[in-house]
Amino acid sequence: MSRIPNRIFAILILVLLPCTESLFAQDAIRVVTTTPDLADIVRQVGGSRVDVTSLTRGSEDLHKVRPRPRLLNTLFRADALVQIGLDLEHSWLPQLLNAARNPKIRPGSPGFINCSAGIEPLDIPEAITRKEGPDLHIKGNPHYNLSPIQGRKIVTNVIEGLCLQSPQYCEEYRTRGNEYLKTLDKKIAEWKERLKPLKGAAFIEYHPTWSYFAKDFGLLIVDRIESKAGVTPQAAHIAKVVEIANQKNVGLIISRPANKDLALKVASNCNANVVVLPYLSSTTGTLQGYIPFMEIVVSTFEKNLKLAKR
Amino acid sequence: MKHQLSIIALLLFVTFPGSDLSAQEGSSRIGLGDYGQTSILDNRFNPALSFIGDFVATWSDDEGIEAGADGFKLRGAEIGLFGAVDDAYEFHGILFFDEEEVELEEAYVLATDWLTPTTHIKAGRFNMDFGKLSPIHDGELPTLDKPSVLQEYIGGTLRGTGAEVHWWSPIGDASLLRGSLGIFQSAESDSHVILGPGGGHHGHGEEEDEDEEGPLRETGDFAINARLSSLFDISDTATVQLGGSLLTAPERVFGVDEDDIQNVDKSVMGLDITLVSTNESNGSGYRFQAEALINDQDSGELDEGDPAVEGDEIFNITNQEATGFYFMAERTVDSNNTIGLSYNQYEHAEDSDEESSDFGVYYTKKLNEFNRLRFEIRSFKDLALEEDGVEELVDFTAVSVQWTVQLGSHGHGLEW
Repeated sequence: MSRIPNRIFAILILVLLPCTESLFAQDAIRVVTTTPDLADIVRQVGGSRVDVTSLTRGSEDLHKVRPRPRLLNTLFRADALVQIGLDLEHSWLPQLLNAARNPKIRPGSPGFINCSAGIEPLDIPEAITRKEGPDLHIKGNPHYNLSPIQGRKIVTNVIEGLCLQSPQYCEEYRTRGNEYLKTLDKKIAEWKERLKPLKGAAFIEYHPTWSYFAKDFGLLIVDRIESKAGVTPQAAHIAKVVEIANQKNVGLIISRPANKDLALKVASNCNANVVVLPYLSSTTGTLQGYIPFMEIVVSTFEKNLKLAKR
Repeated sequence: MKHQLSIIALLLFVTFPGSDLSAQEGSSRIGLGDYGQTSILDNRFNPALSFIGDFVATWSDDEGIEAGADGFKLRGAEIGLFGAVDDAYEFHGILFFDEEEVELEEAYVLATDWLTPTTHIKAGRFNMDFGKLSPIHDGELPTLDKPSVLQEYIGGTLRGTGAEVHWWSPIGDASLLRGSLGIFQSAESDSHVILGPGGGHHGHGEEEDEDEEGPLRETGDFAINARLSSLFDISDTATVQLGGSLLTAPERVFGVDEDDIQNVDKSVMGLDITLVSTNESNGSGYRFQAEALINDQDSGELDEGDPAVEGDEIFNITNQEATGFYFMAERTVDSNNTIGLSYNQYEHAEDSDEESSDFGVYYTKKLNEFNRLRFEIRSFKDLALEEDGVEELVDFTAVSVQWTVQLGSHGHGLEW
């Protein structure tokens, strides 16, 4: 054989390589989730019928995820994609979906499972202008995963999504999903009972994150350290937050790891503790799993708000 | 006449929507206001729009050719339009404005489902896929200008009208291979350079003059570019990319007379390596990037010989090969603050005995996602035209402040 046909053969192999994926398809549905919370819920509902991968580990700021080969390849091979939505993943997921060109997970296809369907978003901005902050979420606060009550909605959305994906196992998904919902309901009742004495307790957060959680348990967010979404606060704003913290006798400031320094700065001028809390569960360690993660969140609030009350 | 009046009356009745719509006002019937067909030109399908403004102030201690760049300058403003034409085609258009001109930088259609799922075809006018920094628009660069070596060999950005096929394939879990192949009418350079070999003016160095082209156009006369690169994640936070690019831009020009068609060639080969590492919890990280280029180009010059002797003219073609490289290292302290340095060294494309270099340090302050300030100090050792008309190597330093603002849509895609 001459050299030219060899080259053409090599090019053909390279070009057709992506198509060979389907020849080696596995029985389990390859489900990709954007966060570890969603991955855990999909595992609980899908059992052995699903092979789940989370695109993030839980320690990331979801605005700072860098599109990279591992994420692209995972999406390319996915049968279904489960996402939080409400623009939480907007800075990286649409670009990866566009590059992956996987028709199974295109928006509108059965494999595109948007867990924000049916959620009533909080913190919808009244004015849609960048003057309200460069990181403004125009569809509302996307951190509904921090509400166990909204977590129920995630579970039902996942059940429906998986049923659309593989109707033959739908009954199985419903049975498992309902079992998980029972466990979650039991925990919600327990958490409500534990946080009942703290109803009306006030805290400060850095960025609009804990609105859904506060609503579930009757807690009060009295101010935010971030002056506007995505804007690092100036001294005048920090002074205002300190004043409010002192006026309302706030004893707890919830911060993200990256903003701990500013939270400590506020805390040093008022009688409040700073607690660093992630807003997602993790793929490893003690924060693994949605319910165990929420248990840690509830315990943290319970412990620190009690301390603040004293 | 009667018929004409009837037709006009009918047309007025059909085209005037007032009577029909006014009846719907205040109606509580579901769908009339929200979902009824009440709009002639529905703007909900309008393309996404973006606007980038790039303002630069530069001061240098050079009194030669670069001095023209000193002072305040609106380097340019770009308006981008992006949208899906239908389920298989996208359209991208970028208009560039500066104080002197309006230019259609890019206008191309992207066909997304002609071949395999991971192949797409670009057709129209656009930046060619050559190397890492060449296809990037100035407002997205890590430094003030395109590296000098790119300015010298390809004029900063390679742009052409033609078609390019892009393809990628996953390899294992964390690697991928990507390739592109393009064919263009000609290879034009078009960067809006402040400092460097193309500095102080709008460079069109490699643009072909259509009037001087030979009359025959064969397959081998088109400019062709190709790129192959591999990206692999070496950890959860770091990615390495190795790439190779090739451009060949043959040209047929008139030699001694209209019947004397000569072939002059320009080809550029580049190799690049990039390492990016990002801490996704706080946005910090680092980046190392280097590109090495080999420029091989013909120059044609008419030697008129002895004017007294008819037919003594000779069209001399000489070939020059020149090499150069740049590297840059960046440390992103947090998501808003980046410091970096870059170094360029290159032989001149048309006189490879001469070598230039420059070294710069820069600090980029992202005020937020849409608003960025950059300070750069760059020291050049470059050829400058002296008063006696002779080019000499001179040392000079320039200090620049760049302010880039952005409105509207933008994305953070994979760094191919």
